[in-house]
Amino acid sequence: MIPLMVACGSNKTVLDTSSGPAWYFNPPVDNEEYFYTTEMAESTRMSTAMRSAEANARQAMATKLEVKVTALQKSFEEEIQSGPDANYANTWSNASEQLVNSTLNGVSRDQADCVELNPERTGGNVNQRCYVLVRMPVGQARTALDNALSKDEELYTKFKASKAFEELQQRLHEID
Amino acid sequence: MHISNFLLAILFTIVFCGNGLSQNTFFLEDSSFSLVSNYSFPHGFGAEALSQYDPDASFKKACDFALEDLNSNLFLSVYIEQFKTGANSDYYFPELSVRDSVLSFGMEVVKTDSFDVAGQAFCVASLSSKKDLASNTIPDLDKLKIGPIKQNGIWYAMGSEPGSRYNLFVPWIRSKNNALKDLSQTITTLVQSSMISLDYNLQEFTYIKSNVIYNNIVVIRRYISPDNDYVSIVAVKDSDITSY
Repeated sequence: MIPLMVACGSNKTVLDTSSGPAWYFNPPVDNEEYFYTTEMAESTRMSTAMRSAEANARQAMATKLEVKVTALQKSFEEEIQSGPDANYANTWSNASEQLVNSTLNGVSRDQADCVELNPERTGGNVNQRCYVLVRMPVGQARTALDNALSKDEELYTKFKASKAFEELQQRLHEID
Repeated sequence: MHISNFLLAILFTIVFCGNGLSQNTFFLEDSSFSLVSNYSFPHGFGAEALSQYDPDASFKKACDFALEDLNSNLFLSVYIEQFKTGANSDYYFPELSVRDSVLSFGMEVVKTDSFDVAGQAFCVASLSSKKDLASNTIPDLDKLKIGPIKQNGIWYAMGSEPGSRYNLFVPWIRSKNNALKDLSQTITTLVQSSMISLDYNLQEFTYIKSNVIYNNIVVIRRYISPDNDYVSIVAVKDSDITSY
């Protein structure tokens, strides 16, 4: 009887650990005013879960604005035949690196919600889950994008300079 | 609400609503939050358990705390570094530093108010030339609970800290600092992240940093929540904020 009364009296304990606020699953669409990202995190403490969720959301916002991806794929196939038998080998390797480097100004929480999870379901002491929706004014986002563009231009200029240097060296060799 | 806080709130109400000595209004403003203080200029707020044997020493200690709080409000550097590796590890290093040259009581810094409530000595210190905020109104508390808000060139942020029956000063300072940490990350945050995947292994590392310097921080409201949390609302003019 007592557990039933406790459960009825509490509106924070969530039995279904997959549930969350509607705005988390259907965040607002980016518009002319704001960019949005949502994230969640879990912890034993609500404040830590909230801070962690917010850090994840800021990282997601930074990734949205600027990300440099370097990828390398290697594949190797061989088939050795000896009479009716064949031996086939196939290896495939994939490496990628994703780099983010952005300064975000004015990223603020638009919505935040924490739920207490049922420890029996989580199987440990991590029982706080926080969801956040953060937004960034587009003006600030534009500045971040402009910075990203200028960084690319800088790299391109360096590339052009090195290419010109190579060509110059080649011409010098031709003269020799 | 914890009984001692309830009594404290009631005592604040009884003592200060009809007390000519207090320069600010102390009353129960909201059904959920009990208002403890309401100021519109930078000040320091100190508290110390009142000794029956040496009350003067208790007030002196409270005023020392108030001076410390005032200095931190006039200049505070907030430096936050956060490292995340993967989904479950999160290292958070906030550092709040007060300037080296600390002001003392004298012509420039004065004791504005002192009083005792519920066995605690309180002291308020401020500059003799008070720099008032343009506005003493605050944004809607429900919105502030979600995150910092900028309104008419002033940033507002809310911070909270569980209360203590024995030391009132530390929870108030910590709730203020929590508000400023939250505000700093809103104002500016550098995010550097590297995610390397090699076949089925994924290595992720994220570094997050915020550096902000504040001048003339005003703890515009102090509340005690029904859950015995000490809640501070800070207000800082945009022109008093330097991010780098």
